[in-house]
Amino acid sequence: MKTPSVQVNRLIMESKENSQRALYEKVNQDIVDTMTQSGSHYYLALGLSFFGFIVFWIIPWIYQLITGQGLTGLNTPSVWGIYLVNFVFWIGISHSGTLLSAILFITETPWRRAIYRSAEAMTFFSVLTAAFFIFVHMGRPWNFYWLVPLPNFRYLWVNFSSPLMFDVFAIGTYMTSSAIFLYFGSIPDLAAVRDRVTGWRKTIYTTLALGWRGTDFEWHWLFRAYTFFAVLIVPLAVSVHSIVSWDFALSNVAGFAETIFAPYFVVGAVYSGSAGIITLIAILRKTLKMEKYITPDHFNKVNMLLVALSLIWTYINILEIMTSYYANNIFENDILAYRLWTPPYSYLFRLMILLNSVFPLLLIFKKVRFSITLSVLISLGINVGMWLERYLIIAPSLSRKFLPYMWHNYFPSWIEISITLGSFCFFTMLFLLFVKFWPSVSIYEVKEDCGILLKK
Amino acid sequence: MVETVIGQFEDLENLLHAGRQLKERGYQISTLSPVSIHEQIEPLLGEKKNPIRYLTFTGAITGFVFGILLTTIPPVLYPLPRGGRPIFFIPPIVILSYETTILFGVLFTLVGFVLFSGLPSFKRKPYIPEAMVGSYALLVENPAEKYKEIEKIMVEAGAGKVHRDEN
Amino acid sequence: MAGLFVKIMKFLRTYRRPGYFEKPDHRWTMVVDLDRCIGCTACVTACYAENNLSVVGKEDCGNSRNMSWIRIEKYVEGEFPDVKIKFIPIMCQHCGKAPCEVACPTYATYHNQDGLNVQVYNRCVGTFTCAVYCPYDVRRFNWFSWKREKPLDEQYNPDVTVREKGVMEKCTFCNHRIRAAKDRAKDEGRRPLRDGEVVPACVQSCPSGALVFGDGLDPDSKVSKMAKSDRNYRLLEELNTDPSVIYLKRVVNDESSRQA
Repeated sequence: MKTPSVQVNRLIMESKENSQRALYEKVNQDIVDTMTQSGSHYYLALGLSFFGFIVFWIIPWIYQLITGQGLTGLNTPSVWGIYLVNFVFWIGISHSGTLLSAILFITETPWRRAIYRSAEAMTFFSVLTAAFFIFVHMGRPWNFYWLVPLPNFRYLWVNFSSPLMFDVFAIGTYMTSSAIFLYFGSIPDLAAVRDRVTGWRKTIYTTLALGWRGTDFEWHWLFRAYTFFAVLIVPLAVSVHSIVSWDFALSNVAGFAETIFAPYFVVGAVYSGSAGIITLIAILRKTLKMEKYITPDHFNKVNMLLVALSLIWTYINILEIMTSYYANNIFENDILAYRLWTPPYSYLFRLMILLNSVFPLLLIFKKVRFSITLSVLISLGINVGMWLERYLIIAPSLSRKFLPYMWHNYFPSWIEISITLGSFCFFTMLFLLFVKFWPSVSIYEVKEDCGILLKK
Repeated sequence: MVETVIGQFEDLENLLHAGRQLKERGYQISTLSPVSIHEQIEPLLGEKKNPIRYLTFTGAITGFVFGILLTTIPPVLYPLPRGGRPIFFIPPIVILSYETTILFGVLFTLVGFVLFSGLPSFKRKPYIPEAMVGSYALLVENPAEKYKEIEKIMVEAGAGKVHRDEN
Repeated sequence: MAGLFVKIMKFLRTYRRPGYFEKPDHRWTMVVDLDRCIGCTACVTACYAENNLSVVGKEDCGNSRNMSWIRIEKYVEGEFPDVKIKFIPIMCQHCGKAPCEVACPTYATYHNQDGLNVQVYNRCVGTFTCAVYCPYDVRRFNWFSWKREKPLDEQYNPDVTVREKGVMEKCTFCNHRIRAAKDRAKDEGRRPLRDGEVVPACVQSCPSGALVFGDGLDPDSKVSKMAKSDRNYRLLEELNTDPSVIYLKRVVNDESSRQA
């Protein structure tokens, strides 16, 4: 018999229901209500994020497509700027869902049940945003289909040796797998929603639920398939961010060509993703009134993970700096000096260390871990710090390459900052739509958590 | 025309009791439940086989072979030298076949799920919405018009509603 | 069985050979004699004229976006009156093991049978990876589609493509002139190219003869003989990119030029 999580006991004790059926009905009602009852705040938020998406992303991007990449602050040695930083950042955020969903499913951890659905959605939407950024950074994105290895009449194949080609495969596989993973875990919940709505919504959910009835036969197959998806998606997530790091590590640029990059980026991804989860579930808890389902203990558990990841991240950072310094390679020395001691990068570096290595240590204390406000603040800081980390890898290294005559600083222009803002609006918009149209807390998993306890 | 008798139960143990009795009398039973009751129902219905794993394995092998062929054959047929590296170059073969292994493993598992579970189903099948919310249901196939007997067993075990479903 | 073994060996020999070509047609090499270079930038101007390079304007130049395929790097050392100025013209080194070629996902840059690193403008999608991977920073991106006002648009060289925004470009060793010379040689009955027949624009315009161009595979060519000099070196040799541009060190009247 699986041990139910701590919060379920509280749910049962507080609910004053004395039958399992009534308890299950309450769970059902609560979660389906999040989809059917949306207040004006929701529509305001959705409208604002859609407006932000159009105004900050789509319109400047169309202007850039017409005029050219020259609108950015990019220049000849620094040809990669904020667009690539954002790309790596959003792929990093996407590793949250995989961790919480797949790894914790395999280890049968009970506290994942209430939060894994929104984590999986976060994964899928951040991969979408990152894929969008690939198009934004390209010089001629209307020819993107040349990057896909399809047979064609021009006898042209792609260059499989290129790290960007590894990217195409990795991100394509990741997008497909996480979408399938999200969808198949939700089928019983979509069926639950199907039974509660009417009209045109009923048609949509009937189609999406694939005729799920809940027979023992169907549960058996779902569990089997879901286990295989989980087992397959874990090595995939590790490989995806390693491959993204190899865009940099396979060059010979001194600040990029580090062997530690693959594990560094993966650890950083899980770190920033888990911090993103804390922010997200705190918002969900407040706005969807999920206080009984997402409890401070959830924050406690994810915060413990954050402390561990923070320590690993700090260690790898120290490693990177120490080994570069030890090697005494003249090119690496220049980049290191530029990154660590020259303003403005020195200030950004210190801010990054403060946000990523120092503040998360507060999570050692139990009071801080259980406090939702402090958790959210620290996790927002971690996300800012991780964005800064990617920026500090890309921008200083390209500005101080091998030949000093070509050294030139990089500063982002208005269009890059606007599109970065637009990407956050895009992600928010997608997530708000998700909350409305998809059950954002897993109904059957929460029920499973409760029901095992109540046996007359 | 297969008739199914659906009995709604509040308690899982009542359902198991009724199910055991009906199975002893030789009826075909299955259950509807809002959560997976695999552990509890397994002694009653017997262990199910799991052929999905063969499909996943086949998919992974197919993906691996596909990845190797994709990275080996086009560069050899249309060779374009780059970077002093040989045309038959090992690192992209390793990396890309790893990705395609996982991709095809996932896709074949998806196909396996669709094939074995019978979803999406286009026929109307016996179902009560309460079984998705909080109750359990016991479905008994009734080819031999033994409705009264089945109903008696279910009600004795503690069922709520029992009704017939024709389809 | 032995036939199969032979086939496999032949396959491996062809397709596992680094660089693929067993016998390239030429290995176009440029020798830059830094003793003769006076930093006059005539080569830069000639390259601008020959290859339809765009003038980007003062503001973009200040943001290091100029389009010069060959540049004179100027390093100033010391204070007045002991100032030392060093010039070095740097263009695409056409590396034998070019990092940029391996980086391009669409094969827009690859190595051809003349030992040149060619750039195919039509195939470039603008991922910038080649510019990141190039250690010499010789690659230039078309940030906008610059238009020339009349009558300058009549000055375009018809042998060279005019690039639109979003594509990468770099020095091609005036590949159009190499192709023209090879075509002429073919029309005249497949004779081999003579030394000094192919002259890129920069070599043609250098007043002091600092730039010398020719076939490195031809042991009698001027570049092969000059490359054997004691003063020779290649840029960033430790990165193992195998460049085709050989520099001859400047002779200076101090300790650094004494023979060992």
